[in-house]
Amino acid sequence: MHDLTVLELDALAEIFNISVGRSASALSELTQEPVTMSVPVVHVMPIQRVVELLSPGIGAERLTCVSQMFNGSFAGEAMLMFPENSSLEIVRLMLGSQVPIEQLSEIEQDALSEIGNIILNACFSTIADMLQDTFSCELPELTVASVEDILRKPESEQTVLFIQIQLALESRSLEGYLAFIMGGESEANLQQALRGFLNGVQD
Amino acid sequence: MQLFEQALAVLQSGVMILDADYRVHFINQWLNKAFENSQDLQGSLFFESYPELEGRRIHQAVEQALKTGLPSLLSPGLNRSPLPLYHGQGERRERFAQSIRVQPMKSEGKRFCVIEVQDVSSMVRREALLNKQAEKLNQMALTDELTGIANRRHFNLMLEKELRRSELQGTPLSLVFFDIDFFKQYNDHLGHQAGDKCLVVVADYLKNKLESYGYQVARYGGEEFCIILPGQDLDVAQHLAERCRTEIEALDLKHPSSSVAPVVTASFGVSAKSGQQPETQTGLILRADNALYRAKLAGRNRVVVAERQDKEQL
Repeated sequence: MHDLTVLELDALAEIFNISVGRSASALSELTQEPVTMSVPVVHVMPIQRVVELLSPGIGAERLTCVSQMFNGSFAGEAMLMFPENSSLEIVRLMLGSQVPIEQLSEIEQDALSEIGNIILNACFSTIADMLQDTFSCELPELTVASVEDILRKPESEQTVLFIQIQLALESRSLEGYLAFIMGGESEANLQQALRGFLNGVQD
Repeated sequence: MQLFEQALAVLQSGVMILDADYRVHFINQWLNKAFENSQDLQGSLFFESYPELEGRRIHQAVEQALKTGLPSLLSPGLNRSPLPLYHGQGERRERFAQSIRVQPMKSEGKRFCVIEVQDVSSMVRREALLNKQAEKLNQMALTDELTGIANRRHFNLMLEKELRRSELQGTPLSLVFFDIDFFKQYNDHLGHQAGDKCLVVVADYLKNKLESYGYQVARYGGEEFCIILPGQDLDVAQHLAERCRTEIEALDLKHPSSSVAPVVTASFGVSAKSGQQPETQTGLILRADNALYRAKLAGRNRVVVAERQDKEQL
């Protein structure tokens, strides 16, 4: 596997911008509130680097993570993560509740799982469209934990496709992260699929 | 009947399998009975029976499962009641809150999707109740029981918010602290009930006269009150404090044991920050409190401004 080229990274950024755009309109429809999302940057990095990036020192905040296992030409675990406070804010803005409880309630947890499910599914279906691939994946799971606990995986050599997303709702702008932890041959398969896609575009 | 089918028939949640044409391949008893007009849906084209669901989230989820093979979760928080499902009899019959999972399945090369439905109305009700109570508790925790105006906790939250806004927008912010003069003597002479009443009258005056201007009033503790003036500079705050001083005097509450006046009066301390100058919450409070202390030393029933006093000393 070679590092992804600039062109390949741009193609990925485009794919994810389309994906989050689709999920934003789905979420707007659900909540009857304007929701916009964008993807400023896409990175490919070792899992350890992600842990470093997301743990800004002592007393670091916990993350809320919605994850789905997936299988296709590339396989692994897809995650949507928000700092815990942002996730509380997102779900309360979307559900329109005002109660300042410091933890997610059962209904809020389910709602957050659904929000993650909508965003991750939009990513999968866009990737499937563009790369002419199909994915199967599992239902979302919600975890609230430190970044080390969320990303502590048996194979710590894994590569992560890491995407920063900017979510704007009701004049608030919140940052979240998408991470696709790729197993085995996934990275090479993804690169191959991207090349196929780029060749198709150029033809 | 197969054992599995028997089990699905007694299940207290809904299971439905749709094939690639959205035809109901299987529906269990619980779910069939919950649908509004209870006709047997087995074998019917689901979205033809319920055309109003077309294009809705449940339809999109089914489509995604059948076409792209992706599972979906429909939570009761974001979709209260995606399917027209009812429980209860007669007048108590109502559409219930649902939690739905839609999952793709493949069998003998054909695509299906399984829709799993749970009645979560009691969870939704319980949570609504908890929310209401939390809101009430929260309200109680921020209100001064005696006077009904904001308490110290609430004051701290309000001041924190206004300080942040002042910093962000570069607008000034002022603070007024005041104390009822010789309140201990008032209590000793007229009794605690009279003392409480005096506090209530002063708080009512503050609430009625100041809150409509966008000023925030609170009881800081004992006989000490404070006023937050968002967006106002020291001059405005000083002017307001002076007005409060004369108006509290004009409330004409008899105070036989006061050595400054025959009626209830108060001493005021004022502090402010400009839009540019950074300031901490504690700093602003301490300066107002210090000015109030000086107002008492200088003979009470007067207004002292923190900055001006400091400048004179320099």
